[in-house]
Amino acid sequence: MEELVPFSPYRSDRQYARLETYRRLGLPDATWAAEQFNLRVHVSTAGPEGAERRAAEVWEAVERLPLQVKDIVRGVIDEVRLDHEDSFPAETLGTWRDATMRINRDWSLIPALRNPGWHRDLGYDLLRATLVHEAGHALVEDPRGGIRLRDSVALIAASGWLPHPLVDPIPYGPVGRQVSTLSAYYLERLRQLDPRWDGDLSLGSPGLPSAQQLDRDVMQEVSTFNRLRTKDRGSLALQGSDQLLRRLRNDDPPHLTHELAARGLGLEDVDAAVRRRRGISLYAEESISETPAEIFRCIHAPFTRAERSRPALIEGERVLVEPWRTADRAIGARRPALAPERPWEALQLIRRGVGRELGR
Amino acid sequence: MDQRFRLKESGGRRGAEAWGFPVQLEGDSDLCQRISGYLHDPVPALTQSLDPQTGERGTRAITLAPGDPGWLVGCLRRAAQELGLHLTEVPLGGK
Repeated sequence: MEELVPFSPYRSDRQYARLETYRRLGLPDATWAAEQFNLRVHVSTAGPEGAERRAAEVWEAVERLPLQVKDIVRGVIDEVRLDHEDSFPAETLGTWRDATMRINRDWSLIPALRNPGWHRDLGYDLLRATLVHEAGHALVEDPRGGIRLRDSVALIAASGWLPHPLVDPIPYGPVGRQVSTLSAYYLERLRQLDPRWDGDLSLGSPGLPSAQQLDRDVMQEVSTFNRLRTKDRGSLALQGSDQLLRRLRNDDPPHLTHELAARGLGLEDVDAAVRRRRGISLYAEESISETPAEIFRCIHAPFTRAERSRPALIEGERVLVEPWRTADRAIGARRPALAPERPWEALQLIRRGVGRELGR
Repeated sequence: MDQRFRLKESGGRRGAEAWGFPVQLEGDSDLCQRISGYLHDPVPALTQSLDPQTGERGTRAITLAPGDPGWLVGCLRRAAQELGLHLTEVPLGGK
């Protein structure tokens, strides 16, 4: 019997009121964030001028998010902080941890973004992409909901993550041809590394190891710090397909061919497996955590760079979007609210200065 | 064994291949000349960050210098976009 798709834990039947509506009523943007998303807002005034303008841009980007991402923001993010560049590692656009999303308010100081033409090269609205990306981390790691580990692993499998064929040839055989069998294989291997990996729980649930351990157990190329800690336990040592191809191409071809043959594989088998599920972009493949967010983004812009990523898109559709569709079918599609869904008295209170308590 | 890329005109028959660093180009001479104009500058890329001390994850915008992993494909993506070419990767072990 086909498995029933559950509702997204973040979906509600509440309508969203638009930022424009609040602005028309003369209400601060932070009030919109607080009322529509239960968000605390902090805008750092340290650093270059223009914090207010930057904050406005951030809220406009939040307004442009798809409804599903808005639901995640409302469900899992408690605070948005626009912090000064100095508080981030170099070149960081934004971060997420423990229900706090931090956005670097000084992107003009990031060398890669000084050339305006490069925004176009990166291919999309960067601010929106950053918000979607950080919401994607939350979707996978949120202890209050999130997607099941089984589905996270299926997304990894569908996005083309594979071990080096000389380390583990099994995914290059029949197991690797179906996303479902490949993800079941990865999950079983994860359980061998640590029996606490339970596919029915979401990352962040009590009793499940941490997101950082998932990185260590799934990936080979984590930081030296983490690699030392995972040495005894081992790793699935999965790599994104671009990363794996780069590595294979750096090997000595005759030696590689010889070693593959000893494991019953040829270069053609390896190439077919790697290309079967090429990732969505280089960006998606630098870390497993990027993958759901990228899939999510691509699902909402299906004609951009989806050509060679069909299994990942299908899996992303099943895992990330179908729970919202199920809710839409059951509850009905949402439309924007025509006005803030707050009693007028409450708005008056905010106008009298209570809004400052909301972070403005 | 370098990563090798193929660029083809959409609906046309002209094509070129690029690989290695310094970049080698092979194929239609006019196309090669036009593509070569894109093979000098740094390119931007997005990547992830993870602070192992705090567990804070994030998105970084970085600059790939000529010769960095991913630099060539970044240049070729830009060339493909602006010249209306279709970019693919030549299979492993193939040419």
